[in-house]
Amino acid sequence: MEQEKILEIAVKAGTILLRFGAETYRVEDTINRICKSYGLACEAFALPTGVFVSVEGQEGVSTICKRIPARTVDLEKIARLNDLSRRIEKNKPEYHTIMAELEAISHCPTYPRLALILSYAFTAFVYALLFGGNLRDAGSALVVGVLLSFVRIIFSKEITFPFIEYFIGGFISGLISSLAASLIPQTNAYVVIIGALTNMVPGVALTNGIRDLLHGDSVSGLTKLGEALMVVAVIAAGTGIGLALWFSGGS
Amino acid sequence: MIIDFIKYFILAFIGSVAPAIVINIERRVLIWAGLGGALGFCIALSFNPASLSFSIPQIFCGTVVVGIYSEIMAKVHKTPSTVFLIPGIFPLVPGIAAYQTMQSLVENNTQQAAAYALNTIFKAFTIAFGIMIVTALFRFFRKALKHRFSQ
Repeated sequence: MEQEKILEIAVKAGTILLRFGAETYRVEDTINRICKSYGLACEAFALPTGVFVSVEGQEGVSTICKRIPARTVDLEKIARLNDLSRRIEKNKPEYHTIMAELEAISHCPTYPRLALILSYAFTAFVYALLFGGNLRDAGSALVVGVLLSFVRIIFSKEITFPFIEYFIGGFISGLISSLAASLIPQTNAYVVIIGALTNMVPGVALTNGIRDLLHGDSVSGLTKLGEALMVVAVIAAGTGIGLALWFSGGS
Repeated sequence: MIIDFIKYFILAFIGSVAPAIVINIERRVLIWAGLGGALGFCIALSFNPASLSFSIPQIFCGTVVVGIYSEIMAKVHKTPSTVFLIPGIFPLVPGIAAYQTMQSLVENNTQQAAAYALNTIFKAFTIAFGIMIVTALFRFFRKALKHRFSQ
């Protein structure tokens, strides 16, 4: 296979991994593995926002730099790409086969929208109970969870300012939970808020940040941990403003 | 008490499967991801079944259990260990400490709010530290094993 095509495959694989929330070392490792299986010396450098790959073979040195504009989380794509990179190493398939498979992975279906809404609702319901709430708290949290899933669906379509989703989520939780607590007796607004907001815990950023740090990728690690902190701060700000609005206007 | 445990096991199971669907985990490992979260939660709970507000050692043990479980399951199902790790830590999130912080803040009890906030932050760091230790240990063993077999 030509050098250009190998590079194209490696960069495409790396881009998919970065876009859907893989750790930095996994991205670099996959790119290196693909290039090495076709006998190219390769140097890959990945950041959370972009990837640089440079290969050296008989046709000289070629480099590609790819920027990642928007990121989401989709671990099924990561798992399937991980599997593909191991198969490339073993079988060394043709260019078109790999490209078709990469295309299939980047378009592989996610769970239906209803499942997403239900999981938000159930997360809110279950955590309101686990955080010491009663069934009324859990019921209110379920409603707030459904609202949060709508926020997520709306903002995952439009790429805007990345933290606005969390701000609005916090704001809605603060406002609706206070409303529920004043309408329904024996409801603790704070349990409802935290139960519903468990949906927005930045678990992926936290875990991947730690794993990157442990691997020596300090730039990516600190960036991801900073992102997790930022998400929490934005949620807190949104919730605070929602609560303050309620307490100054409502009572 | 056994009934309580079964109840919390089921709740924690749902509480790990639902976030797993949101981060789009493959269907074939969804149940295993849920079991990891439930296991970690019940281990943490078993140290002090009376309270759902976990102490720092409880959270640490829970996280370590989830971490070990994830690494083993990752080998069994040939998938990245984060697939099990991320949903698994959800039930250990210090939600009770977080809502106590918020409540004290709204009630204008700043001193108590500061104490609760510090508690929340420590507990979150405990989860991070637990993940760190397990990941580092497994990486060390994997390297040691590889080194041994290559000789």
